[in-house]
Amino acid sequence: MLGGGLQSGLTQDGYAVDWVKDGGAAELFLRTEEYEIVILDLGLPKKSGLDVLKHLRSEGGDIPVMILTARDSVEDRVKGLDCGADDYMIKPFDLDELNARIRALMRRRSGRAETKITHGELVIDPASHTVQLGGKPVDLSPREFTLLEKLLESRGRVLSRSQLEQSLYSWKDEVDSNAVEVHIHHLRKKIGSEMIRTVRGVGYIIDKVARE
Amino acid sequence: MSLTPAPGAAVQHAPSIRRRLFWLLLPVTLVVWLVTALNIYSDTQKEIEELTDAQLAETARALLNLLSHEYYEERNFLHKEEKNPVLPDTQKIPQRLAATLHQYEQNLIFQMWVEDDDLILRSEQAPDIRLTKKQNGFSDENFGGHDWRVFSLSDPEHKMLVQVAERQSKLQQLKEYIARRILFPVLFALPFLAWLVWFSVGRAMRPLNRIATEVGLQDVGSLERIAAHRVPVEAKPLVDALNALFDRLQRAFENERRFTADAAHELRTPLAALKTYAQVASREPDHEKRQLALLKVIQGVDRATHLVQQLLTLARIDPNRWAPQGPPIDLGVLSSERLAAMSGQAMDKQIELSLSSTSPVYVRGDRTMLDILITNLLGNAIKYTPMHGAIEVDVESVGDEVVLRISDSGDGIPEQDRDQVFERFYRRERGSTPGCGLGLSIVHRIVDIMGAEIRLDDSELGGLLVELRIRQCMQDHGGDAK
Repeated sequence: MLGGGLQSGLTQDGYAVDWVKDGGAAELFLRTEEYEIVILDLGLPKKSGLDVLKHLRSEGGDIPVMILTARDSVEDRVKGLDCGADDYMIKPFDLDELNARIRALMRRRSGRAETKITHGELVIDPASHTVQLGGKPVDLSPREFTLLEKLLESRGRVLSRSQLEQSLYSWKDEVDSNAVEVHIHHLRKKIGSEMIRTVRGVGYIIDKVARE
Repeated sequence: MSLTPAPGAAVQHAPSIRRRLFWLLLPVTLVVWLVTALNIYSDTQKEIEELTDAQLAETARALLNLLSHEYYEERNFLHKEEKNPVLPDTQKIPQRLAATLHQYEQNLIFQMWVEDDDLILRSEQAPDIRLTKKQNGFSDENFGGHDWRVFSLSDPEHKMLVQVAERQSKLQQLKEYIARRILFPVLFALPFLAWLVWFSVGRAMRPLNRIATEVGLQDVGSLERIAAHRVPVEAKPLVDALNALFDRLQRAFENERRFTADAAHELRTPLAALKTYAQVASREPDHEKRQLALLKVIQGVDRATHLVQQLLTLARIDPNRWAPQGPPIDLGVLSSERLAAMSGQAMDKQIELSLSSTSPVYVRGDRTMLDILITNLLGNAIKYTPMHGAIEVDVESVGDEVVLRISDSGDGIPEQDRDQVFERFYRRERGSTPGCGLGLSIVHRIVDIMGAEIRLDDSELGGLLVELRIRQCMQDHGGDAK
């Protein structure tokens, strides 16, 4: 029930969320899909969240992990963090706070401390989901925003269509084969066509340094 | 005014092994000692008296032999010399003889009579009247202010009589001396013995003090067994019982601790879900999606309510409420009542219900608890039975037990999971069916308290069979409920 709520809440913020209900399935998905963050409830059936976490870290997975736990004792929290968690939240938590912490974890992961991402004339603020181009606000849909954010966070790196698809859609969503192209098309209309370059046969890239 | 008794009073009334042993051992020892001493004393006294008598008799015989001979020689001599049968000087002869008789000292006196009335010889202290009227044998006399033991020996042939006496006081002194020698050690030993008893009992009780200290130092949170080594054999049952109690308590505490943690977890998770859905609803612009989120909030509240209800039920199941002597309850009737009450839920899923009961079958116990038990089992059966399924309830009497079977056509529980389902908060398929994982723990707890048995098996309907065995209460005893 909590999972369903989280999925709805995070989807509202434009994240693509996969929700699995036990430790075994979690490991399977972590092996087969690519994620940017894991939100892990420790009270999982079959395999405990801590075991999933330990296994993930022992396999060398460096994906940020946020723990959700009902156990609020210091030892429990310390244990969770020592097992490889990056952050924890105690139930019941605030969805906005969870969101902020997720943003912080992703920010750190992309190696910056600045909350806003600036690229030439373009400034995007993941916290408020706002985009400005030359000081003027640009209105983006949640998926367009996610796409832009993802490309900006990996500036100078080509992202494949499937990588972008995974960050836009959960595995349950029915995805049109040209969904990414459609979103890129809309994005280019709104922020200018030069910023996002198509690398034919591979994917899309935003250059490391904005062209003047 | 304080109503609590003074601590001193309480201590005085508390039984003390040390005091008890002390007051038991000491008088017994004293009595045994005294009886022994008295025996020795009286034996010795008798021996002394016999010895004295024998001595007196011997002395008398010796005197008679010696003196009669000497007397007649002397009389014959006097006869020849003076032709005058004058009685010998009674003063003179004894003095001469006194030297030879010196060893008898002043405690021993003697007289020698001839022809019944002539005192021909006597010792210095002896009076000049007969010591005793008795001609032969022993007697006790009193003269000159003293008690005497007298022995008379007559010699009819020579018409002589010897009387020997020994002062009783001398004997008395001897007896007293011996008695003192026997009793003195007792008097000295008694305080020593008392101290020894007190000290050694105290020492023997020291391990008990150690145990008490160890028990006193126990932390309620983490009870530790008392080391069994160096515990005296007598105290071992106590220590063993304490250790067993500690183990049980430890388990109970562990259980409670786990339960609290689990309950916190189980309560917080639905709360978190509620909050999340509420927040999702509050920021959702789309009307339909918002309604969906709000519906989830309402469902969440229902589930949390159910959880709280079950938690309270579990907490309220009180072993003390189980009354083995309570009025008999017809399990068949109770089952049909419960079944009727829950038929609405079953009807929603179009489940076919059937009950077969060989009424009346009586069991004793708390009605509320039996209600909870059957409601939970039936509720589970309904929950896990799919649409258009079937549930059969069967109550019968087998031997001295009442057997209640609930079979359903659900998916059943695989054998390897059957033990775990009774654990608190255990849910086999989390999320697929609503529930908090407490229903069967509640059932298990009630079954435990009732001393009944529960068994899970495959049912003939394809799902789960729950078999409950409760001790039957015979109808003829049960009819006269108080």
